Amino acid sequence: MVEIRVEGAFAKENEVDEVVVGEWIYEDGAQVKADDVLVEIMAAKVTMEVVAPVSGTLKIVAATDDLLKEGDLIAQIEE
Amino acid sequence: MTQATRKLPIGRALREAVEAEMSNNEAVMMMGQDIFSFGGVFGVAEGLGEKFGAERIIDTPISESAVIGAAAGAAMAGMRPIVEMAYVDFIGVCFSAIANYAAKTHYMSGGQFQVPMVLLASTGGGYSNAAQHSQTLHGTLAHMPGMKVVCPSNAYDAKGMMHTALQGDDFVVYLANIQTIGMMMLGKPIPGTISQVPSEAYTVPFGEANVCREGSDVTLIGTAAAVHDCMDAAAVLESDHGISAEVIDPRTFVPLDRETIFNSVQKTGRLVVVDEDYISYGVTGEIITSVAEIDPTVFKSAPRRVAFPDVPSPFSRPMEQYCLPSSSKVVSTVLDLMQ
Repeated sequence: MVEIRVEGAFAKENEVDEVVVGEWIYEDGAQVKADDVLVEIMAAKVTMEVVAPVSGTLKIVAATDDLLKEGDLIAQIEE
Repeated sequence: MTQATRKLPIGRALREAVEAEMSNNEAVMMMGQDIFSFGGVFGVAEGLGEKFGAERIIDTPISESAVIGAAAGAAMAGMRPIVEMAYVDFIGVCFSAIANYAAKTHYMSGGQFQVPMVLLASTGGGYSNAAQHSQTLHGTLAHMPGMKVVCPSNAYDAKGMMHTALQGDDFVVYLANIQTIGMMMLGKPIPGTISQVPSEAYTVPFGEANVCREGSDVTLIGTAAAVHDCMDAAAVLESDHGISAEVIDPRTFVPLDRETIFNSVQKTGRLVVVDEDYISYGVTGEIITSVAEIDPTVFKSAPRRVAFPDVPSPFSRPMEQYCLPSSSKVVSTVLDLMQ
């Protein structure tokens, strides 16, 4: 199980405490490939793509519109 | 292992089409403001500067007239430029380059020069961007001869139509409604605009309307974002009032699929056209006329339109929302029509 978390630097660079989760491109349980873009997160109008680090089954943890903090879990991938 | 369903917003679908066409054809290039490193306001060029270099993803100054003119010249010389214009409102400063050079050169040169270029612009309001950054100008553009004018309402059509535009030899004005593009900084796009999009390239032909929902009592023609107002209205009309509405998305203003529209009105006998452009002298009137010219006796009641009143778009949110088309306006218009 590979975990995908909010990279602390992203929120910090944009000088905010929270990032918001955008629309998921894949549904929960979808088979995704490494480097597939899964979702966008936004901090202070700057967006960042969250990509799959490995191929496998996507387990979505953070829902669209959720506010996350540095280090929070976004999703997991079961290889 | 089940095949993953992938859903994209329009902006991302457009980027995929542009990236694929740039990979396949060295003549395809892009020009616009803040596209090389920032990716442009829609994110259509995101990552493409790094991939294709500054000669093919060209950052331009705020000089629309020079940029459209340069792109038209490049297209005549064999390139296939895409020009990104953040807001369609800016055509005011470069309309001669659009309507006199890009649109007319193929005809005026006796076919010696084609102008295969795409002008991509965002349209529409809803975000309190005020009167100079909220127009759709559908009718203004569709009125001019010599160019295709297209207006996708969902990501599947958007990607296919961008492939069609970049593979064709015509000047295409490609209008993407700001509420459909899916830029996170503007908030959520209209849910129906996010659709399943195949990874591989495919085309969606120009001039073929999409019958989004079949019905028998009234035909609702919606354009761009208004397609979704019509779909929402059709659901309410059926569940609350027992009225069966057919919803048609023309997908392209030029060419316009008059046949599909006429056939639908012949079946239902009633027509409501919903468009975010100003109501007078616009595509709403053109669509109604297209039906009436063929056979005015198909109408069981006078056709109606739901469009922006003839005023500059207000900055105030309540005032702007009052002016914009909405599903509730479509419902009340249909109920009035059915009496």
